[in-house]
Amino acid sequence: MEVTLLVNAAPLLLQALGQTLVLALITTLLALVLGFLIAEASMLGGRAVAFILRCVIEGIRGIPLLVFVFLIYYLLPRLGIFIDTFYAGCVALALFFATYVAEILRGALRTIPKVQIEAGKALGMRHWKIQLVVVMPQAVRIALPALMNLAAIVIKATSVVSIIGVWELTLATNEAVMRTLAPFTFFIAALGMYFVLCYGTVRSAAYLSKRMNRSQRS
Amino acid sequence: MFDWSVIARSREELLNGFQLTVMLACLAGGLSLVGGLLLCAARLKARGPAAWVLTAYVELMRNTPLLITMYLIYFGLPMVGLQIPTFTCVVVVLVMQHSVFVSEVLRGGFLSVPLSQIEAGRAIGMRPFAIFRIVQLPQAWSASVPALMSVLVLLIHDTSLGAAISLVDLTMAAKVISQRTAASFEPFVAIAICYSLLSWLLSRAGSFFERRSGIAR
Repeated sequence: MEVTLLVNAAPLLLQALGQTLVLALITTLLALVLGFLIAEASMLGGRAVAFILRCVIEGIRGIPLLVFVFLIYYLLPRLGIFIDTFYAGCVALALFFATYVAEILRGALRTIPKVQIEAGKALGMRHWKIQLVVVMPQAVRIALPALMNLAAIVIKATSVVSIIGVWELTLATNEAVMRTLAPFTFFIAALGMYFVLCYGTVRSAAYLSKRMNRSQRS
Repeated sequence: MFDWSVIARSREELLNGFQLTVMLACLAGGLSLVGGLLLCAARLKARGPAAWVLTAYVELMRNTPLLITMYLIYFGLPMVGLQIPTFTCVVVVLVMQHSVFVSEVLRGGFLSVPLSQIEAGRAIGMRPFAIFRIVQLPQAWSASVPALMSVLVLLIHDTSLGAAISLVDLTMAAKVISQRTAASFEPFVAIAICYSLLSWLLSRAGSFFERRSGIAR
């Protein structure tokens, strides 16, 4: 009985799982780009910019994700931006996690010796070239495990945007439960799907950091 | 464009929500600390199948969204004939999740205490509990205070998910106000400030404890 319910709903749930993946992917990519820009801006822009960005980051980190999602969801129309709920969810998640990416990158950038940047300057390289050719390849290597763990957190966090009505795995599961009154079947199935995604990401992060430590040592 | 008077007009609701959120955070936070300590002790002691079960539980909780667990408990328990109030349900789910986080942090703290110190304690004839209380706990505690504080901040933030199952906390209050009035955005700014205040207070308390436990070291 329960199994047939699950089999019947399988195409819908898999589609919802796809939506969750797309959402997590867009969010992660946007957050990476934004976080990189924030980290760069606070290095280049001098004390005032760095201070303002610090305040923004700390401010965003002080509020719950759900509240931040609501804030963005209701703020966008006020600013004259009318986009689909799905994209509003993306924007909210991306802005929220960009602060985390910026923090991770900031930590990684600190580990790059200053002499390398000075060497680049001495060779007459421009700032962006130094960043892209010298600094970032090393910083990303250092930051990768932390960024992968963040990706797992993003996958879990996408469930929150179901509350503003973005159709993804959590909302689809909820709807299925409302229709069939079989909470255990569907929520446990959803738990399983999230678990596979997140645990897979976390394990590969652990594997990567192990491999990178090995190559660093030799 | 913005109508801030709505916040003053509905301060009663917001204050009630704030009160509930604080109560929820205190209760769930305290229980998570206790539960986390117990879970950590169990994980450090357990061998064989018990260890396997505990690891499975920890990994499951760490790698699945809180919201799904919350729905599972909230909609699942009545199906097996257990009617519990929404507040209790949220507390249970928060404790289920965050005691795992607490236990992981504490476990890291305990594992950071060198084994040689425990052996030294044994060598001078200390009892196991004395070693735990005098050698291990103070060091593990001071090593894990900063991370524990971020777990507790996350717990405060996660209380907002109670709004998903209609618990009338701070977030739900803002949601209700925003749906009743034309001011959809403003109440969320008000509650964002409230949550920031709570997080900030907690992190201040964190650095206070950190300084004190630093002296103990």
